[in-house]
Amino acid sequence: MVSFEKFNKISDYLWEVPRTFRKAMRVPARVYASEKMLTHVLDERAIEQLINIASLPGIEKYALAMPDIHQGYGFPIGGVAALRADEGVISPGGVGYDINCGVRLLASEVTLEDVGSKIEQIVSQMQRDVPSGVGRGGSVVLKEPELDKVLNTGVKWAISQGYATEADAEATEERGSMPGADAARVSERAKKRGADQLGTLGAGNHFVEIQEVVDIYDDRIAETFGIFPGQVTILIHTGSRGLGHQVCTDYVKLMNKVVHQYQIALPDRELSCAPFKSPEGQRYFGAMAAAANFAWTNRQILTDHVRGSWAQVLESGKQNAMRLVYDVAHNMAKKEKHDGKEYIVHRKGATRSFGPDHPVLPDKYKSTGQPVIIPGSMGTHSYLLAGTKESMQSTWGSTCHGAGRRMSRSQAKRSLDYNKLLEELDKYGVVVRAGSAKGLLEEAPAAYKDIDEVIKVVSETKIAAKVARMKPVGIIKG
Amino acid sequence: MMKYEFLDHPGDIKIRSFGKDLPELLQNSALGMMSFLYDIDEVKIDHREKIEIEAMDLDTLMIDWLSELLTFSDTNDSAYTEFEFEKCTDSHIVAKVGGGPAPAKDDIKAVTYSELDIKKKSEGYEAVVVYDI
Repeated sequence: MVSFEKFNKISDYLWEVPRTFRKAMRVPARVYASEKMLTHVLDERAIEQLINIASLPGIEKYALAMPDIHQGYGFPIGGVAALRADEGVISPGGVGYDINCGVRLLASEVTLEDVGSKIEQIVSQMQRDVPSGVGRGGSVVLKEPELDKVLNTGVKWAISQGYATEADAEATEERGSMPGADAARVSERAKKRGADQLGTLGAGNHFVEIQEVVDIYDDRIAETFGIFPGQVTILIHTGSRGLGHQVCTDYVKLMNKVVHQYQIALPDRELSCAPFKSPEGQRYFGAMAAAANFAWTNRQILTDHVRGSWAQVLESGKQNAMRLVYDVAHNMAKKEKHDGKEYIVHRKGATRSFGPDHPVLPDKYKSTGQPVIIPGSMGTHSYLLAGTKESMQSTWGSTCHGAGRRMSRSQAKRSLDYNKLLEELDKYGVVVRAGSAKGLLEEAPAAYKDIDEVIKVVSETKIAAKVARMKPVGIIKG
Repeated sequence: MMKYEFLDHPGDIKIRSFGKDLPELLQNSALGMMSFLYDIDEVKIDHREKIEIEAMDLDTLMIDWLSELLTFSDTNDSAYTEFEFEKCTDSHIVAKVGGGPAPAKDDIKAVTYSELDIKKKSEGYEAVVVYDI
């Protein structure tokens, strides 16, 4: 455990454990957080995990933690690290079991006032149309050759099947089709596990949320993003399902077998890794990118379901339009160029936050920086932000991904009351359709950290810029 | 002897299991995991799967054993609650497991090495495993 005294205060919201703290550290470890947030996380393993990242071969500048930092596997959740592509490692623990867990924001053409009376109907329709919940398969069950197309080409496949448009691809990181994806690197086990899970939400903290835009902080960027006050927006949060989980499990196992061949001292088996340029590193990257494509295709098919539900309830016309603002990944390793050098940037429970003029951004977002979507937990605000030039310098173009848990699931079930929670959500004006009472309690707002505090740190340190805030009005979860 | 118990964990689930010998420990670890995923009292066994694990140490053996069962479980939408070991050492398992449909309760993403602790005491074995949910 690392005590508070070991941290140097760089600024009110930035703390550093120096390289000298432990012999194995190659770089310092930095945490973006207020003092209060930092002291609260000290009793978990999160900081220890952050220090372990600092020992990875090829890591440059800092091992970074975003303000929603908490204990994870290998990396803490909220962990960011850039490793030199030529001699650095790639680590499945720096991506997560849920490869390309991420979130997308859809924007309607109408305000909540326009459709308010129909919200309950819309939520009920979506619950019928969106496969969610434990053990629930979807309607898109693919045989291997077709599944391989999804793994290799992601949203390109979805476009060919009518689930997506070119505009959807343009508004997705990597256009939903990551270079280097290789279905052959995904095991039979993983394909079988994911075979009936395409187009499904899952359970846990995954959800579809209907929202109202309640605050605008930057008029110019909001206009470019197509966001206006009172607008109805929809958030979809899910990942690569059993397929991704299996890919990570497979490669943690594989890399643990070969890690001593590369003379890498592992402080934690969950931090298992291999040099990016090694056969194992390349195989993992190919499989990870394939699983990422599966997740983007998953979110795209869910988008298609959601668009269908929306159009079914509302009369046809401009009310039907449901445009994809952007889709961001928050469990990923990406090949990126920074200052002319190539890195493998790991973001585990962290979101890319590229600033204005970045070449990979769609033209319409080059003047503003990319949209950054930060979901609050169920029943709390979500935020829309924009990437910044400052983040490119300080965090490899990265920011937080959400609020992070502060109460364990069992604590939440013990200390919170289901009926009271329903009452609270009702008072807050939220229609809920949840698959299980237990699932709902575990995801209660009280079980999560304060999203407003997390966003304050992000905003004050300029690693993303606030654009809008949304309030939930309807939730569908498994 | 208690088979398994759920311990508190900040974000996910942690199960401690017990066994008088290694096969019983492996069985009870599996039952603990299955009891989180399904209502195992309601399982209707309708098929068997063969599992063979070779591992470099006991820790890896446990993780690979539970991972394999999780994979079968997620793929076949089945709870596995019957276990027959043909071979069981610190580095090699050959077993037949019986499973079938049961009411699903929750999901597990993966079995992790985090906080993994397998102890051999005078009265038998004890293991703690953390699962990413």
